[in-house]
Amino acid sequence: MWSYVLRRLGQALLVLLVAFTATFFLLHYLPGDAVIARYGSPQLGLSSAEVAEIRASMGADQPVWTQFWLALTGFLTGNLGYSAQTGASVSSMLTTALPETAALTLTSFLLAVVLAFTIAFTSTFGRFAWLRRVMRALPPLFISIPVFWLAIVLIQIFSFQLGLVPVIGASDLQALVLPSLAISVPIAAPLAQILVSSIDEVRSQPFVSVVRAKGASTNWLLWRNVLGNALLPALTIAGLLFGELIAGAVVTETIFGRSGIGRMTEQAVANRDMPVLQAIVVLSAATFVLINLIVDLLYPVLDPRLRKKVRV
Amino acid sequence: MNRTETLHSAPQSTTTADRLDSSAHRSALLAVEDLSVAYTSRGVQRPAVDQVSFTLDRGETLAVVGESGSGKSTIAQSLIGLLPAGGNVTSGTAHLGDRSADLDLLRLSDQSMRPIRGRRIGLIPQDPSNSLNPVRTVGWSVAEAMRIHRRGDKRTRQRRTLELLERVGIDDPERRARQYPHELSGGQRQRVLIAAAIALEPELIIADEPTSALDVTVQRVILDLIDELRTELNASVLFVTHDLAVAAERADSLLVLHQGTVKERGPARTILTSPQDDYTKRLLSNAPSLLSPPDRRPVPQTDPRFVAVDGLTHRYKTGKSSFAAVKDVSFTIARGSTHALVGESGSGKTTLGRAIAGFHAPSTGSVTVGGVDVASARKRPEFRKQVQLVYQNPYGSLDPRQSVGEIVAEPLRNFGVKDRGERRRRALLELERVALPPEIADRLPRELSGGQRQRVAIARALVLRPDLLVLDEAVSALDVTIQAQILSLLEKLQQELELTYVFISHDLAVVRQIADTVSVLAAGEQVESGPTEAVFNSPEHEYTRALLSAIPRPRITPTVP
Repeated sequence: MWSYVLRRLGQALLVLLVAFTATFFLLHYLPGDAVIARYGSPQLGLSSAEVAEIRASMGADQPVWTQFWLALTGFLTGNLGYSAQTGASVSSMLTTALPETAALTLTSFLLAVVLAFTIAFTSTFGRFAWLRRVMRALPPLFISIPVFWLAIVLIQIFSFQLGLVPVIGASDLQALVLPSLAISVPIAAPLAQILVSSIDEVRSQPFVSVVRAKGASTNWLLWRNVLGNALLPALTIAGLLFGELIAGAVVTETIFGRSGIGRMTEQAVANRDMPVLQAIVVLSAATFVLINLIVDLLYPVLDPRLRKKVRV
Repeated sequence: MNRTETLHSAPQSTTTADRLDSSAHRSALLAVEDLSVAYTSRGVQRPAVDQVSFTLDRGETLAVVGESGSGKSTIAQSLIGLLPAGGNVTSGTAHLGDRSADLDLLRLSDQSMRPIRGRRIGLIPQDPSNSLNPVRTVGWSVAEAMRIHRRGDKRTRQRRTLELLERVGIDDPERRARQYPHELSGGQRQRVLIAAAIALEPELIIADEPTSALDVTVQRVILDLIDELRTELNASVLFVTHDLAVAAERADSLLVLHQGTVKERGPARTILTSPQDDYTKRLLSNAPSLLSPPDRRPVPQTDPRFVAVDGLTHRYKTGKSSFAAVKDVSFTIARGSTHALVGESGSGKTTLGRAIAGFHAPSTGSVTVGGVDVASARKRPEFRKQVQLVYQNPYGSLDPRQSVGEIVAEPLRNFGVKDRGERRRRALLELERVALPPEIADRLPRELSGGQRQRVAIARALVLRPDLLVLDEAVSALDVTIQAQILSLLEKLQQELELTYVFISHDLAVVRQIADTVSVLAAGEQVESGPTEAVFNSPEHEYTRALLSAIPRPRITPTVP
């Protein structure tokens, strides 16, 4: 068990290193850099000699491998560098932005799970056939809704038309409602689809009739027998959907003007702010790897067949 | 082993005949009248059970016997209110318990059926491999009915669970109760399912093909257990089976079902000794019998060592350890004869069959077919012309997207018969040989019955004119009447084409009918080998004797006019 966890952690470190290297070189060979983006504008009236000097002061004139080595050793020692745009330390930028985004992604995810389970249960165990059919049609619809569009529509309806959520001066909780909703809908859809199909699959297994022959009610069947068996595929998808969550955060934070990692990403891309982008990619990769590690460790908890044989 | 004891304590078996006809008898537990069930799919109603009536007395076992599609399971499912989607009871009544209580199972809503399920009616399902919740412990599943019906507190339930597991013969119940279904063997799982079904001591036990997925020795033990529990609980058993021999051995009375209608019903003894209905007679004569060995023509002696297996051992490697599935097996097969490989699941018979057919090279030892070493010849295409394999599952071994004609002709294409017309002509010839009409060539496998599919699989194997056919449980999935037809087809083909068969089967009755010589395998070892009659009449090894004695035998010799 522990050797498995250690091996997986080792693999995770390797993944992080690859992600770091790939981002570094991709960003490096993209046309333009942070110095041009910030100081290249003719309005600033800097001569090309002066721009070269700024570049030298930031170490941007060094050979690529030296830069790579400096960045890598910096990361390993906890020094994430400084934003080329603002000069602020990247780690302090992250610490202020992270809680915002963590709150957003967490509520979105919980909302998505609740939404997905509601759809899945009513479309399989729902009392009325018409309701089951309507619920089954929801996920394909949800999947085709773009986040940015949904976000704008939500603001239009709930803030401007109904005035339920203030646009300016909202409390922390109020500010979370609409963006979370916008992100959760497209995430709930694939989750619900997987749940529906695995519940259907489990329900067709012979053991379900055996449980019913013991006198079980529908609720008993669903909660104590079907659900435990249907969770596994949904768990896999949930781990993979984390990527969607980050993508959703970039769009919604920009639209709702929240100062989180998503917003930071958007600005860093616009400004070619390499150190910031580098840090964000590594952070996202680390979270992604961690979440999927947790998912893998949860499998044997949910399904005893996946447990390594302990007894002979 | 408790057979005689059970019989004595259940004296009604002699007088069931009189009582079957007086449906208002006091001790009747279940009275079914005019039960009709239909399945509706895409707006079309198809009757599955038509006006079936029977009574089941307390403490009695009634066997509902029929082939697949006869409606036997549908009857069981409608009694417990668990018909699959599309199934509807269209008429009839089913009174449980005293007539005065007026409890009609067929008219109860799902809600009012719940207190009866598990408490008054227990279900022992067909396939133990997937009838237990895989993510719950065995103990949890046994205790489930008690929890649903709120019987006792946690501690008494726990104690009762262990008692039940012990009663059904699970070793070390405390440890087993904490294990999961996948850690148990098929027989143990079926014991657990029985324990779960009788947890609340139901009056009626519905056993829906409870042993058809089990090995013959396990089958016997499970059937004994159900018999014992029936006596202990004074319960009645509604026993659904396709196996006439099992029914005849275990039931007091029989209900013979064909295409949803009752062909015959009455005491088992009467039906076996003097069947009235033509269908029952056919069923009896088709059932492979151990009591009257068929007359077989003498084994041709042109080439007594056509197939020679010499000291064959096959190991499977799993990681660092290896497991010998077949250990040092030797025998020879004469050209034009049938050699059976007999054993229970896990005995290595399929591994051995695949080694003979050249699908894997043996770890040590050798196989020769017609004097050619299989291990060195098996990669050469010509070898496939000589040896072909026919699988158990005719559903899985045919490409669902190809027409029957294409399926049969495919080997010809692989062996360079370029002309389409020529391939088609030869495929049709082969279909005719297995007694299939030519129009079947344009159909897809799913449009055929199980028997027809197996004929197609045989035709495909024959199209290259092989000398040796390895038949791996080739008739095991078929109903008895179909099975009998395929077996006689195989015999006819053997004489026409001078074929040699390696016939792999767990069914000793079938083996006795078709095989000239036999090897009995147990846990990879060959415990006995020789002419079929010699092995069957005077088995030398204890395992062979156990296998033979485990075969269901009617208490009365059936007589087929």
